[in-house]
Amino acid sequence: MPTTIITGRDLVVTIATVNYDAQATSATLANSPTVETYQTLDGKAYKHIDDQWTFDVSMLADWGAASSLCEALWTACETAPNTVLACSLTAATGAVFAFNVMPVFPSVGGAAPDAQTVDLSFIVVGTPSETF
Amino acid sequence: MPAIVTASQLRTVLGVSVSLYSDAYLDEIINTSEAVILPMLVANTSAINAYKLESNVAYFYTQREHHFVTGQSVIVTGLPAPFTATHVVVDSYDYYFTAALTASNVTLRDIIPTGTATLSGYSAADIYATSAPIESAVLAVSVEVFQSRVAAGGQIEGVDFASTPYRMGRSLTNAVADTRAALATAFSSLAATCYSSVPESPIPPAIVIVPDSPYMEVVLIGKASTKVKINFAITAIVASNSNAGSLDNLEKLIIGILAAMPAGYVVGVVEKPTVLEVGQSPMLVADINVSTYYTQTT
Repeated sequence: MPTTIITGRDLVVTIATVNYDAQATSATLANSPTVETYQTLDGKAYKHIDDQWTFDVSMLADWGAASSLCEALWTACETAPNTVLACSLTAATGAVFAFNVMPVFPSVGGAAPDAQTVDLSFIVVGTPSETF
Repeated sequence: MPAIVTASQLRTVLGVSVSLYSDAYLDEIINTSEAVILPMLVANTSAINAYKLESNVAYFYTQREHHFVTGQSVIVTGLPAPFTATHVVVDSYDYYFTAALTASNVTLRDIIPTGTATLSGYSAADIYATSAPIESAVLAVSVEVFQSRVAAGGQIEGVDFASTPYRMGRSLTNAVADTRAALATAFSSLAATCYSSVPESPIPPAIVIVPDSPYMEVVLIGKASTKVKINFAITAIVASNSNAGSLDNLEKLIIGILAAMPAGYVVGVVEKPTVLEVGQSPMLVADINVSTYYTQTT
């Protein structure tokens, strides 16, 4: 079997039906599980208690541009901060993850010599559903 | 699905393995070339430029004489529902034909782009499926499409490791050249000759825009379109006649360049001045590193 390599170029990211590929430099869906450890007479026992997923996106800021992604995200967060946004992350063709995130305001500004960037860390509501 | 040649045939012509290029990938290429060639062939197909529906009779108006006859089965595509379907011709005239279609009346309207009416079983894909010249033409275009995809940077490397331009399309290189030309235009108001590529002998004061290293970086996710970060070096050139005067002129030119820098370009550092000898003319030059993000749209 040939070695499989997929890269960031295989990713496709959609947040609230808006495609972020054109501006996003990275997108990562990750889980931080809560696992309790119990010291029993027979040794350590482990219990998976909870999962908290986060969706981290880094992108080039596009404030002021037509169909600005930053402005779309800002508006979504301002008008409906408690309404989840449907997201889709395609890792590669045939591996799609769908999930809902709480909206966050994008940061504004940057350092003088560099392109302005925005780092977003979304809290994922529930567990992502996968399609393999 | 490809109709004229198979992925296996194209694979043989290209000499590529299935582990690198799947059948699905080659099918896409064949579809592209067939979509280019087949419409140019004579076939039992007519363009529909207008349509209407009256009393459950559909009228299809063709751009040229269609030659369909009563009773023939015609596949209509490219029109709104319910017109896009397979219809049996009821009445045939030179420039329109009718078919039974039970639906609400639709007033006469043009359709842009035109729809198509094709005699069932006699499309170009059907009647040229076993034609060797057409098969050869589709393969030739498929090879060109493949070359343009795998050598998107404008270069291919032969078995002797010698780079050569690929044969079809220079859209990416031309478009990148446009980004350099945009910079050159922005600097046109400065008191210096601006070159969007390296001239044989620059006449100072001059500004030369050349690729920096790394030239292009892939920093954005996704591959639906080609998106790269492009690094340029803007070389500011002044005559080097006296140290103090030349340095002052160079600083003025650099400040002018920075002031005229268009939006969308990230300005990096300005390298230290160096002396460049071109023929008998010493010149004082300094590189300004700039970058921009380019997305291919065509």
